[in-house]
Amino acid sequence: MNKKQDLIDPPKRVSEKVPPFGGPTPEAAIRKALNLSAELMDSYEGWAVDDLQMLWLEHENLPKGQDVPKERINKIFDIAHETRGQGGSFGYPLVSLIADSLCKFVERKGALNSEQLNIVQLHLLALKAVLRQKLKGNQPEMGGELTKLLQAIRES
Amino acid sequence: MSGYNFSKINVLVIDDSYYIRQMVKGFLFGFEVNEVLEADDAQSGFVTFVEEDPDIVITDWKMGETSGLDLVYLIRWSEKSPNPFVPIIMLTGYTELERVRTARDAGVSSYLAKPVSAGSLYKRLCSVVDDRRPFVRDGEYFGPDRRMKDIPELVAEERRELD
Repeated sequence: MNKKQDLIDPPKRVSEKVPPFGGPTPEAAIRKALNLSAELMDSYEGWAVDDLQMLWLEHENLPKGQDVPKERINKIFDIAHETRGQGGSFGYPLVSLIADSLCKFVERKGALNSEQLNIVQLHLLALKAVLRQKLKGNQPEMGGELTKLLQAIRES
Repeated sequence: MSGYNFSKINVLVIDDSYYIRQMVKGFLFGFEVNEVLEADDAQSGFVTFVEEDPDIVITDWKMGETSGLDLVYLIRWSEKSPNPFVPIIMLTGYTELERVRTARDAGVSSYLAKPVSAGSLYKRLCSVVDDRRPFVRDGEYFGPDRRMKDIPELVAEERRELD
């Protein structure tokens, strides 16, 4: 049975305040946006390293020799989730790629055994390598290979 | 030749990451938006929304203990909401199809996956300005007409933005 639906025309639309003319061209607007964010982007490496250190600490503090319950790995997911959102936004797409893989790996698991913890560690080592070598910007070949490799590791 | 004139609008940005908020703020000022308001969780975000009545809302999904989805529901359904029709852009690190569907069914106007670029945010702002969809209310859902923007199209858009 179809539910009754009301169609409503919004009483005010943002388009009434935003004419499609009179502003900077898209190219000029984007250039200005990037200029205004340049300093912030330059400082990303510092806090990315801080986030990575937090990840290492969480990983180091996980109990060894026994399965790790979901509650303990939630913190790792939380930091990795923030990292995947930030990395590419600040010029480090490889950071987003690796952090996204880590998120996918831990998100749906009820617990992690020692082998799976090693996979978490591999992701952290990859993040460390990218930041240490300052692998900024699009790296299509490396990104493609890394995507395949991380997927294979997750599915192993 | 000129482009969209955003100088008369105020945008509310809600994200628990200070750095993401500052970056998005920088982008928005680059687009010459009039004012950018900020909040770092859904609860304070809704308070700011009620007090300031912004023209566009950009919200993260996962914000510590609070959720951008909760904020979307408040904006769309609360009696305190000054404008339940406000365009809401969900800006999030979640990229799975199910997440996009959930956000759409919560009533968001648009979904933008992180990592975000100035270009992708600019395009998304233009897109919500040009959005002419009516709103639908059926007892369980209140938001932009979902029939007019299918999930595959939404996801394809998002994937293109990620490339």
